[in-house]
Amino acid sequence: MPNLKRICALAFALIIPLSFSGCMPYQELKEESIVEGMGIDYGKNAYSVTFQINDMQQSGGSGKEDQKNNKPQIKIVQSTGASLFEAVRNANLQNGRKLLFSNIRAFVLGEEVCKDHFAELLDFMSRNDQIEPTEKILIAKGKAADILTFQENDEILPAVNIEQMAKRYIETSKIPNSELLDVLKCVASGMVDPAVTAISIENVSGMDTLMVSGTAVIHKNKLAGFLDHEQSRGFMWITGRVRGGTIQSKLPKGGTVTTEIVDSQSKITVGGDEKAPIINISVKNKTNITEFSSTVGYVIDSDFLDQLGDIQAKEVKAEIEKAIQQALYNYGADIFGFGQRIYRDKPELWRKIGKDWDKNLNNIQFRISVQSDVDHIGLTNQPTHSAKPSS
Amino acid sequence: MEKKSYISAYQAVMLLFVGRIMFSSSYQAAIQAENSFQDLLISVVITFILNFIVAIPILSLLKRYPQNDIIEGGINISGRGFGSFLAILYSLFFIFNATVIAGNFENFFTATIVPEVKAYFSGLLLIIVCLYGAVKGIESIARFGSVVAVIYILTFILIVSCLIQRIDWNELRPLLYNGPGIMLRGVIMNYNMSIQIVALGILMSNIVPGKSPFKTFAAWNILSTVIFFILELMIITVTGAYGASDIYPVRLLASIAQISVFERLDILDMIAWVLNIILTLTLYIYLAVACLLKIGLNKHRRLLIFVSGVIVLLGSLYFSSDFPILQSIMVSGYYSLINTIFIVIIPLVLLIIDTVKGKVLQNANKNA
Repeated sequence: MPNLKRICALAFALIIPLSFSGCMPYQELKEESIVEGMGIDYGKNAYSVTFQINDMQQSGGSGKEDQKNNKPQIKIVQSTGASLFEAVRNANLQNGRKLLFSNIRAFVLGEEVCKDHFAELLDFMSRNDQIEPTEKILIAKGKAADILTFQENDEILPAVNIEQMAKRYIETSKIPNSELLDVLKCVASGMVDPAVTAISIENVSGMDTLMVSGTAVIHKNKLAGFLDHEQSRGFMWITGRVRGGTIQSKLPKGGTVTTEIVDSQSKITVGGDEKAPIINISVKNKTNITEFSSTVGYVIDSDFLDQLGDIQAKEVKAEIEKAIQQALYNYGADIFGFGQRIYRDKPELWRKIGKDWDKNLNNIQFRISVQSDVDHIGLTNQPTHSAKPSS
Repeated sequence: MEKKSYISAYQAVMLLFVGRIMFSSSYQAAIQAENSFQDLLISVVITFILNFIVAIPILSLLKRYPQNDIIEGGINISGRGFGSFLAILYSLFFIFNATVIAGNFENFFTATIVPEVKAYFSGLLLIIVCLYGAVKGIESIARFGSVVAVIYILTFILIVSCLIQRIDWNELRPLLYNGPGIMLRGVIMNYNMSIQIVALGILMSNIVPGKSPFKTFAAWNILSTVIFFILELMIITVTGAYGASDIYPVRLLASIAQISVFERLDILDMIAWVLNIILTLTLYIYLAVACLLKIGLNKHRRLLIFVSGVIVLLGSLYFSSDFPILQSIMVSGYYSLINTIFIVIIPLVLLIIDTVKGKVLQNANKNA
């Protein structure tokens, strides 16, 4: 018996390491296509998908030139299908290797597909176990395929660059940071309309350039329209998501001061009654002077800073008003979560107005207050150009 | 006579704690809470109090018969015949629960971890490991339980600390706005996940002498409630109404958590989850057989473990192929009724019989 035990223990000890030798069922990396970017369009009653695939075989460096360059080789695969999943599967007809979605950097959704099939796209993404809820999601002005096949210096711009562009929202606060989870949360709640980063090909100085270009507004699972950079930052001010960026303030006597936003907070409170609900938006921000262009002899003292703060506050307030005008009144979309705020703070009021929220949106009165303070002025207290010639 | 194995009260608490905490959230998608998701927080608190109330009969029985479990107490009170009947009933109870857990594992394994694997294969591997654990006995299971509990708690701390910055308090909407329906369903679910009360009732005879059943129970209930409350709060505030429809919300949380270059922590959650499945399944198979051993089937211990494993495997294949049933069981009022029979009614009946018999005996002594 003891021998039998020893044999069993030995057999078990051998089986366990063998079972840990690799994932089951293992898949050779060279047999997989690592999808880095996925674009989805719709047209002629069919979904069209565009995959940016990191071509391991080419970038692996069978060619000496590739090894020297050490650049990822991007392969584009496009396919169509009656459903999104079918379109994805049909990609295998021309690719021959299994698509691996767990390394996707960005989803780019075409303008047309978002007008009628936004919910279906989200359903596909939320069901797939390989797709992370933190993936970046962007909506293209135009076709997603054009974005993912966009070439810069005769090379396709990798999806990782698109992801990086979307991630740098904190530098300007002119685009929202939209992850798949954010969008899913909004749709599931039914109270907040999703705001998604927009991307487009713009002509800058006579050259086509890919850039994140504001915010796509979704209403009732359809793309309602876009916010430009200014309106997008208005949205960011209201929702308290501004983390950085610049404000340019034109001074009454001439000259322009550019400040860097270093801190921002927003508070939304609810007042009024069912006939005239009131939303109070209070935004506070702090800035530092980074650039002062003026020919007038200013001295930066406390009065000047107070005046500059007031000018900045007006700029911010204008951005907020533009965002509300465009999203709420022109598109009828509550991307700001005002409805949710009323629901949270005054549930009884929401019970009365929530059912016809789309109609009641127009009855809301907004009271916007902005307080802007300038914290630091840099290393000089005058604009560099203002020195008077000595007499 | 075989030497009786003992485990410490701490080990018992850890064994039962992980069993409750890991599965509770797996069934909440069946509640369809949507925008009333936050009502489930009240459910957790209510279940905490409810557990103290429903545990009174079992704890009283265990207090009256120290170092005995429910079955031994039943045999002492109502004789061998009724005691044997109870043993079979409780054994079936644990086998059923083990079946549901194994079904859940097979579904999760084939849906999320390795879709290419057949359910029977994953189930077979699981059962083999659990049978081995059940054969090794309660001391080995308890040691394994302490390790799993530590792994789980570390994973929990890591996930929570990574997600603190993602908490959005706006997701905490007014409580009971849509009435108490979701909260009540949450109470049913949490109550159905509290069958560890029964497990404690059977385990009590294996806990080192002198330990208070009430203190052990209270430690389990407090620990489970605190951890589960925090977990539920994280699910609600991080994933919002979307998390209410996710079948594996803890995995969802883990997949959002990022630490340094690691972009998702769901692999850690899966490790803790699978270990927990193995632990709880092993414990339930062990307890199912332990009930039968009380009625003189000691000679057939290994055979009983094997047969239990086969039943659990076959049952789990049925459940894993019919996922809606698997989900709805845990939020079913009928299942609560069955649990109530085992948690409250049987121990209560035994207590009443014991009290009546005691009084009759007292009267007889007086008359004599």
